[in-house]
Amino acid sequence: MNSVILQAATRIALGLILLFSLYVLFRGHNDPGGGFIGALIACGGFALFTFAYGTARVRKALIICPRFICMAGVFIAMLSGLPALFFDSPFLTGLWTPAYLSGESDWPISTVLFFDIGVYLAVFGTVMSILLAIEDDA
Amino acid sequence: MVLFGFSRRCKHFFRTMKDIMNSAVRIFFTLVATGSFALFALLLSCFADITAGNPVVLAYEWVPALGVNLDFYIDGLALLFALLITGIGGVIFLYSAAYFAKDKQGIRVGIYLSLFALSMLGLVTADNLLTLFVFWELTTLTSFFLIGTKHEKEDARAKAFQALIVTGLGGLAFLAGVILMGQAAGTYRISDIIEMDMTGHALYPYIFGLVALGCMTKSAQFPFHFWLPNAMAAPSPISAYLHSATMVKAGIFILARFHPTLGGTDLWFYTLLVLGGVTAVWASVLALREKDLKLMMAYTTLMALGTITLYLSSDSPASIQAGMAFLLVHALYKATLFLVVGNIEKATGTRDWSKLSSLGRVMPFTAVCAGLAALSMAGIPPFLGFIGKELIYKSALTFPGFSWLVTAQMFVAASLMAAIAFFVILHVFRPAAKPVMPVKKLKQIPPLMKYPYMVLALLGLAMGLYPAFGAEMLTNAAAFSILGAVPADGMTDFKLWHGVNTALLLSILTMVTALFMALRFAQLSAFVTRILAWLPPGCERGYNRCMSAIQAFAHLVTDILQNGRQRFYVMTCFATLIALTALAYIRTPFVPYANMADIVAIPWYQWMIAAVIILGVMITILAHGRLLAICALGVIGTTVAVLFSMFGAPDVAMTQFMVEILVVIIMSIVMLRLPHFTGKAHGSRAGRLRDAIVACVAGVIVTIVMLRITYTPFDRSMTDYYEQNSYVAAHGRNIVNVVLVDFRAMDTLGEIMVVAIAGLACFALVNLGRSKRKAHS
Repeated sequence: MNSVILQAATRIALGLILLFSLYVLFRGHNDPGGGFIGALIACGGFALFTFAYGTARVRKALIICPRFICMAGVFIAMLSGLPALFFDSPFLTGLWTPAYLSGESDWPISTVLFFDIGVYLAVFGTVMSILLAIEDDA
Repeated sequence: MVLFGFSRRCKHFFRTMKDIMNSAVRIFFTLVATGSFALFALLLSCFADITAGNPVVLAYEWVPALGVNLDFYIDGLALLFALLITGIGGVIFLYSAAYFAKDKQGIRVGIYLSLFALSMLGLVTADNLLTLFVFWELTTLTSFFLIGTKHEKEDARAKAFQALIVTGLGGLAFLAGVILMGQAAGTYRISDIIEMDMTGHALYPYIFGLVALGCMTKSAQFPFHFWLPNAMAAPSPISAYLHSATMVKAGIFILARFHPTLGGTDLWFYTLLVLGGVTAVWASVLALREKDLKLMMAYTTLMALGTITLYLSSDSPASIQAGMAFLLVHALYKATLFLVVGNIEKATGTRDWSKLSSLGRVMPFTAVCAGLAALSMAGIPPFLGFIGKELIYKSALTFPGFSWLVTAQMFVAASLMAAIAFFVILHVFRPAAKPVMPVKKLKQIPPLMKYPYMVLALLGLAMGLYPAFGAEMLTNAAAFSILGAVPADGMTDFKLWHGVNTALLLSILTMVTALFMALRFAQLSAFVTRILAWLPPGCERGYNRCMSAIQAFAHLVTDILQNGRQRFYVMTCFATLIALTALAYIRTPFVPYANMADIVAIPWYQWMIAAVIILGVMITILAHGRLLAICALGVIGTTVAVLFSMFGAPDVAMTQFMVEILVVIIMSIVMLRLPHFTGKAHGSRAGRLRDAIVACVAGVIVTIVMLRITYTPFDRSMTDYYEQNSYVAAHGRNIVNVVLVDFRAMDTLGEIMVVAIAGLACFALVNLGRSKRKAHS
């Protein structure tokens, strides 16, 4: 689809959509949202981008192959479970920074957050690789 | 010139890399062998303790929730097996270091072989029924890979698969038997179970049948014996380890292990007696037919397995002792003989005895090993084999009830086996005037394939000369664990000379018969082959028929269920749903589902949403264009998302909304590229009517289910738990997200893996279609 209006709108919309998707990802622990939804939102944005510019541009914009992103996501999610083992807890037990737990810091940095990022990347990579493969094939 | 030099250097570099890789195989196997010997030494250090009647017990928790513990229990029986596994294993690993040195798959085989050794060790020492089963299955799996080592050959793959199917089938039966046994005993701890007597339990016949089926398949007893000779597709060291010394004895081990619990009944006695006896005699006859030395060894292994099974049928101390003694004897000489065959094959390139002769002249070292092992196999004094055979005869003569039958069977089997042993010495190794194989053609045998296994052959001699030292203690320790106690009148001493008795006379008669047969071996073999040709086809034919019947059935089902028409798939799914749910409703008493007051209380805007959904459905069904149908579907999904958000599930609503968008996008990409939507795709009028009926009934059923579910009071315990703990324990206020990433993070991890795999599969499918189309155009 070679529409100037769509392309111009996409350029602004994609940025906003991605920003929103990250926002949804990070607010997920306390408000509606999370890695899964965030990833789907980002995919929606990139679907728009695909229609406006074609798959070649999308691949270039993503830099990393979506299949790799998806595997990296699974890997990160698994890694986030490992620190718990050093504290004698079962695999994937959530851990928070001492500063947050004691109330000194407002930043809820935790292994759970990294797990959610892993989910985000896995879902995003999967949907994007399907989307691009089908669009390429057509 | 420069280029030439460069390419030579490249070549040199690659050759060096290859050498390093070869030595990597060697280093790997040597390390594993060292480990194996270390374990052997460790077990030996417990020898005195265990033979004195103090089993070694080790315990670790594994899955406490299911009562599965990593408990290990080493008594006399386990010790005998564990020593064989580690000792013979170590020798075979050393041998393999040279055997696989130039093999591309060296490391792979090494890993499987050491995994196998570990699981076998786990199997014999496990003290928990379920752990035992896990190790049992691990040996099946690793042996599948090991038999299929030459996986580029279709034949090897088929044979590996056959072994997997037969032993895997037995494994399933074994699992069922083990669970029943655990249920009946009230515990899964083996050391407790073997103290019990289950023969009076109501479940006893089932437990015995299932466990015995597992053992019969694993130890290749008649009628499952055919997989073992076929498993000879594996390289020689693997066959030596798996199919003579260890894995095939796993079934024997289980029978011996549960002898105190399950043995002693008529059922046990006759089953083992008949199957063991038939296997022993039938296998030794079949061995005569083979021209391939390795297959010959395989059949004699079957004979040995049958004999041990037969001797486990009785609970008299003499026969148990004879069985265990024979197990030890057999493991020592048979592993050696398999390795000898490996050497012959490596040197001459063939295993066919009709093409081999006079090897003793050119392979003196292998010939000595072969001679030592074969003499032990033939049962010549002063080898351990002689003592084993004396015990066998002695106990056969006093065998309860069937002494003449067992003696006759043993006589036939032992003479045929001795005949084969003599034949190997006389025909294959004896220096003849005119060797068939020219000396120059022989390949060099590396030292690692010559010396280490000589220990096994020499052990057969040493243990025969000093029987009281090692063999007797080991055998008796194993026999005592099976019998549960030291018998009052003691055990037969291991001695070469018991004075002139019937057993000795039988032995001499066996030797004479065997020698006679060995000298006329070619004629005998031809005769047996001719006789066997008349007989109806054997058990393997039965296996093949079963397999093709299963395949035919699978074809039939696939043809019906997977006919390639999407509408049919969907209809099948919904029809199944209707049938199962309706069945469940018919079987439960009727209760009123909903009261009218609830329905009247639904506010008007919710009715509106429902109306939008119904409208969307109608448009989807009636639409003539694909794009319209897809969009209408999207409308339905979006409206459902609105409902979710209305009822306090914003997370679900958001997800549903995004999924709906992506589905519409992806579907339109796919659908718009399909050929034009024509009337034919709709199917006939009757077909559409049928679809409509199925769809309507499915809708009604789902509605009824929903009403029923909402009518029963909602169990809030789970919700309450999450509401109370979400912020306190997991520092998050969004319960859905906390559940996903914290409380049930393991599930989520599994799910994203599934998502990733599905994505990869989809990618592969799409690309497969493209490459196919390219090939066409």
